[in-house]
This record gives sequence, structure tokens and C-alpha cells, in this order.
Amino acid sequence: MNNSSFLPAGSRDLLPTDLIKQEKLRNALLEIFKAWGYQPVLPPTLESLEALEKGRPQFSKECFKVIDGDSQLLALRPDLTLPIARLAATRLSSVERPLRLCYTAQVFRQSLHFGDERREIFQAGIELIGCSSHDKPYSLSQTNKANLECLSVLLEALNKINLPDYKIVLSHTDLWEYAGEIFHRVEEYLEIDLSSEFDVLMSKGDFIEYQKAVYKAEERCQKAFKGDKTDSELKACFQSSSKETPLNYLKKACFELTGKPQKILDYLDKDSDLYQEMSAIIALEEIFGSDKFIIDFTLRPDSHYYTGLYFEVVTSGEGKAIGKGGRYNNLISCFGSSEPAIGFSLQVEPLMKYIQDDSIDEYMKNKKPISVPASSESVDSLVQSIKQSINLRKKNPIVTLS
Amino acid sequence: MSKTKYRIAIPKGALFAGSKELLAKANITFEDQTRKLILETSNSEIELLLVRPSDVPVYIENGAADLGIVGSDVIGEQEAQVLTLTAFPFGHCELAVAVPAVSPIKKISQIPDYCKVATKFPKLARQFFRKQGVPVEIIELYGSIEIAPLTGLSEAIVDLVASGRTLQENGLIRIETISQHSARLIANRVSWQLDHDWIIELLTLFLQK
Repeated sequence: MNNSSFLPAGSRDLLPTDLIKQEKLRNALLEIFKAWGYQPVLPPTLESLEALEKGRPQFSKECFKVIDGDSQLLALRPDLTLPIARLAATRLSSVERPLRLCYTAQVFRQSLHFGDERREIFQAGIELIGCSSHDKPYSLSQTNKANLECLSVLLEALNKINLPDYKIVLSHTDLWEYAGEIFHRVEEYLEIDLSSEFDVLMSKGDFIEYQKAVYKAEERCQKAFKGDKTDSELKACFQSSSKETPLNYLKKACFELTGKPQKILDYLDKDSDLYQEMSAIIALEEIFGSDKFIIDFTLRPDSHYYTGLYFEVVTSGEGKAIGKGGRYNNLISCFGSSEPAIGFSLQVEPLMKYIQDDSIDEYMKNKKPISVPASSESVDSLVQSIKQSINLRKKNPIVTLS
Repeated sequence: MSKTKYRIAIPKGALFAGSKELLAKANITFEDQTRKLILETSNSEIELLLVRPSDVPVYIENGAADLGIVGSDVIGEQEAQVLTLTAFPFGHCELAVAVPAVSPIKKISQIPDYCKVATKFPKLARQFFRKQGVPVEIIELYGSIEIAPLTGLSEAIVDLVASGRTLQENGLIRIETISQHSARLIANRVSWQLDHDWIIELLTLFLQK
């Protein structure tokens, strides 16, 4: 039997240099999180599958399931946001808000796609839960306050670890609802829900299917208008817009909703909450530089618990996002009372590439062991050697027996 | 390995000629009488990867190339996590069910339970027969599907049909069309975000008449 088959697919052993690197990275991130007042927590590795599914039904497909002695169905935690939401709503429910929590821990997922993808993923992140104002916790100003804090922690953390050429890609679940508002009357008339249909198509990233759906909607609208001359108001709504008809606009939207923030914000109504919320985030450019944000409204979160701002961290060296986060205002209420929340998680392993190797060498040099000769021939001299090594350890970091 | 140039993955085989023509529309030309697999182009910012059609989505999904040209059949089979930006009017073909001309099976409703079906497209084939409610045994092959029924390996095949000549020459007839396919432009999501202006510019050139 080949020894390598003892290691399950998607798993790895972390060797000493990997661990030194990982520890360095995690400590650097935790230092930033703690400096902003976030306190570390660690939920259990095993969670009740029922609790996980409450927040995100897809988890039942993605997570590893375990059956305990009482035939309870458990799962290795596939995510930390959900367990922390549970914790916030239960044991920490009476702790002063906002609750600032952070973590570095593993999550376990089985990919539905390729068998060899990593199954044990190291994450580091924060959750900012609740708000000090009991008046209007969901108001735009409170939302902006939490958004800007959360993104500032993220940007500071990425700067601290010198991640090169990274961008924060911003999206918002309201965009399609907002587009839907334009069509609200058309939708009511045709009794179809355009925005959710487009939303689903957009999340698949298939712009051809998306455009087909718009054409189909347009056809149905035209047919409907032909048979109805009385409802002129409806007709006006369908055809008039400052620049072009809404459906015409939607057709092109998949190509035009990605790019530099200022260009994309121009598409939005300046009085809308969506515009206000997005432009508040862009104001952070004053601190962090003008090249850190991209808006991509075609980006849809794969977890349905996000309810507003959604963002991913990308860098040109990686084909996939290395971190993500967003607002999840409906998740805490799955486990207790309702409160707003936002957070992010970074994947530790892809970030490890960016920790300089010479810093590891230096670390190893600083911890170069001193060696005390120890003979195996006599117990007496062995005891003396151990005694000597204990004394030496008071001044030297590493003392080994040779 | 970090990227210094924009990369476009193009497929060897049936879609190669159409891809070459398409790139020429955007003034991207290249020397193809070579065994090189990474090709320089007339545009110093762009290099091409010449890969197997089924590998195109893999390069794109993992960000080893920014854009790719590939048949919609491959995208459907792999369910790769890529953006499908647009369709091109070349590489038209159909995924079809075919049987030997001498077979007693003349139409899809005559396919018997647990019929052996050889194909390069196990996922699409399985989906199709599941919809029909017919349990079949899918045999996955990587090429020369047409000989499977001739050698007794299978009773039917699911394969791409363009002109129909290959089927005819191997004594097979088509009994059902499953889906229609043509070339697509796909993109890596991160490239779409970071190099958006470049992709839109190129897309405009590709789509000009």
C-alpha cells in the first residue's frame, strides 16, 4: 500500500516552517484586530447541524457531518460567522453593544466541485455585532458607521501584512432590488419578479442567460402594452428614463456595473440610500489611498445571509478572492433577538505566500538552539546535563540536549 | 507564477480557426506554425495559451489566464466558476444521441433501461436521460466515441455533431438532439474586476461587424 494514501484528499500536514509562518501572520492580524478593540473568541469545532442550517441551508451539503452517541447530527464548523452569531444571540446577548469579536481558526468544508480542494481552511476575521444606539440601529448613519469601521480594520490588516496590489471589491445586495424598483410597476403588471430572476442569473456569472432573460421580459412587456392603451402611466414608466428605457439599460448593465467607484456611483440616484452607503465607503480613500476600492455589482455573495454590503479581497496574483465579508442583519435573529452585524474573514493560507522568507530565517536565527552535551551512559551525568540545561533556558530561548 | 501580460486561453481543435479569426478582429495576430504552447502575439501586452478545449475553463477559473474561448458544451459539462461574457457566431454544433444505423432503436423513446451510452459528456448525458426518466449506464471516454457502438462497448453514444459526416462514415444515425452549442468568451472573475477596461475594450473589438 502506498503510504501517501493515508492522507485524505484536500488535507495537509503543517510542518515547522509552515507553522512559524502561519503564527507570524495570525499574530500580525490579531494585533490589528485587538488594537481596534476586538476580542478573540473560539466557538467549538463541532456545531449542531440544525443551527448551521438555520443561517444557511446550503451548509448541509458543504459541511462534514458527524453523528454523536445520542444520534444527534453534528457538523464540523464550515464557517465562523454563524457560530459567532449564535454566541452573540445567546451567552453574550446581555453584553454591551457593539460587540467586537475576532478569531483565527479552521473551518471545514467539502467542495462540491473538485475533490482535491482544501477541506480545512484557516481563517482570520472579525465580527462587529449590534450598535450602541437603541434608537435606530438599522439607520443609514449607523450602517455607515459600522461599514467604515469594519473596512478600516480590514485595510489596516492588509497593509500590515504588506499584501501587494490588493483591492477591495464592493457590491451590495440592494442594487438588484433597486433596479427592481424601477420596474416595480412593470413587474406588478406582468406578475413576475424581475429583480430576483436577474439576481439569480447574475450570481451564476452567465451574462448570456441573463441577457436572454431581459429580452424575454422586454418581449412580454411589449406584448402587454400592445393590448392596453388605457394605462398610459405604466407605459410612461416603461419607456421614459432620463437616458434610456430601463430594460434597455438592464441589458447592458452586466457589462457596465464593474469598475472604478466614481464611474459606477454615477449610475445611481444620488438621493438613494444605496448611493449614500457606497459613497460613504469610498470616502475612506482619503485615509487608505484612491486605488483600494473597485465596485462590481455583478458580484453576488454565495451565502444568502448577507443583507446589504458585500465585499471580497482580491489581488492580481490570485485567481480567486482571498477574503470576503459583508453585512448580515438577519442572521442574529435566527438565534435570538434581531440586531445589525457586519464582519469579514481572510483566508490565511493564500496570504502566507506574502510573508517574506528572510523574516523566517531571521526568526530561526534568533531562536538558534544552544546544545548541552548529555551522555546516555550514566544516569548521574544525564541528570546533571538536564539541570544545566534548565539553568541555561533562563537566559537562552532554546536549549537542547545533544 | 505571477502574470506580467494579459493571457487568453484558446482551444486547440475545432474552435482554433474561429478563435484565430476572432483575435485578428482585435488586431491580435500570431505565428501558429510552431510547437510552442505559450504564443507571443502582435500585441506585446497579450500572450496566448494553446490548450485542450476541456482545459480552457480550468485555466480561467484558477486565474492562470484572464480570458478564454471555449464551446458552451465544455462550460455546461464542467460547471466551472467563470463568467460567461458573450456568445460568438462560430463553432456551432449539437450535442446529440446517436445509434448504429442497423440498431432497432429508431427514436429516443425506444432506448431500453440500463442502455449503455458512451460519451465525453457524462454530466450532460446523465442530465438528459434523467429528464427522460430512462436509467442508462454512462461510459465515459475521452475520444473516438463513434467506435464504441461499433465494437459492442455501448449501444448508443452522446456526442457533438457538426456536419454529421463522422457519424455517417461510421454507420451511425442521430436520433435526438440534446442541446445546441457555439463558442463563448469566458473570464476569470478577478480579472474581470482588476482589468475591466481591457476586457470591455477587447469585447467591443470582438463583437464589431
